[in-house]
Amino acid sequence: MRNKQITNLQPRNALISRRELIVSGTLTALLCLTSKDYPTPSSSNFLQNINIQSAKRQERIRQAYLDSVFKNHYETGGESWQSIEKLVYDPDLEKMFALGKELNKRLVIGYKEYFDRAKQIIMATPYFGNKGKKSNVYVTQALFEIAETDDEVCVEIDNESVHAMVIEKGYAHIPLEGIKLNDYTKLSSVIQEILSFEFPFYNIRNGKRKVR
Amino acid sequence: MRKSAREAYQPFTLIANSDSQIQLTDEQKKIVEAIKSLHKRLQNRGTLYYFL
Repeated sequence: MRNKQITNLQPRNALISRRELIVSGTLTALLCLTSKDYPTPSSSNFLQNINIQSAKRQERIRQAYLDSVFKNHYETGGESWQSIEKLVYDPDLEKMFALGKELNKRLVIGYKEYFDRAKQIIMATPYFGNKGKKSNVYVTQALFEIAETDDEVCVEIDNESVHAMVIEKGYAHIPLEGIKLNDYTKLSSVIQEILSFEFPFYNIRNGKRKVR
Repeated sequence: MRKSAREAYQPFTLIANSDSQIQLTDEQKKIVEAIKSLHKRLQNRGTLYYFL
């Protein structure tokens, strides 16, 4: 008898626990839906609420923000954007260096020296011997300290997209006869850098990107 | 990668605006022509201003 009572109680307690869970889950969902500043992946309008300002405040949603910006501007980004595989949030570029080390240790040594000198890297499109392939663009925490609007983020992506285009296709948005851009000599690297600035400048000048 | 656009373009400005009589190899001549062509394109696209 005693044993039976205990047996009867167990499912009832379990039922109460499930109800509590359901109530708690509903409250969480309501909070997510009513809080524009603090979206979480469990809310249905997560991707609509996510924006640069919320991404600046919350590190955990930065990758989702980058996915969203890339998706929303991909079609209008231009040919060079199609050479980008993905934007990867990599606060201190640790993922990028780890991958590079795995793929080609020799190349990474040069990058390490470069990045140690340059403290304000916003985004980077490394060449790890991936000619003919799309690139991942690595985005550091500096972007979220500097950018205030999606357009300002897109300006940075415009810049990196030119590097990605050179890696995949061997030429940039402005074709230049007589100079190979993907042989990675000092000259071609500087020209690539100039062209990577030209593309966002052109977009700013023509009103496509609005910056402060 | 962020680097000063002006800083990167400075030597190109010198080459594009120079009318040097220095003897160049064929390879160097090609490079100079390509840089002059780049300079002209930036001028036509209205973006040269940002580099100067």
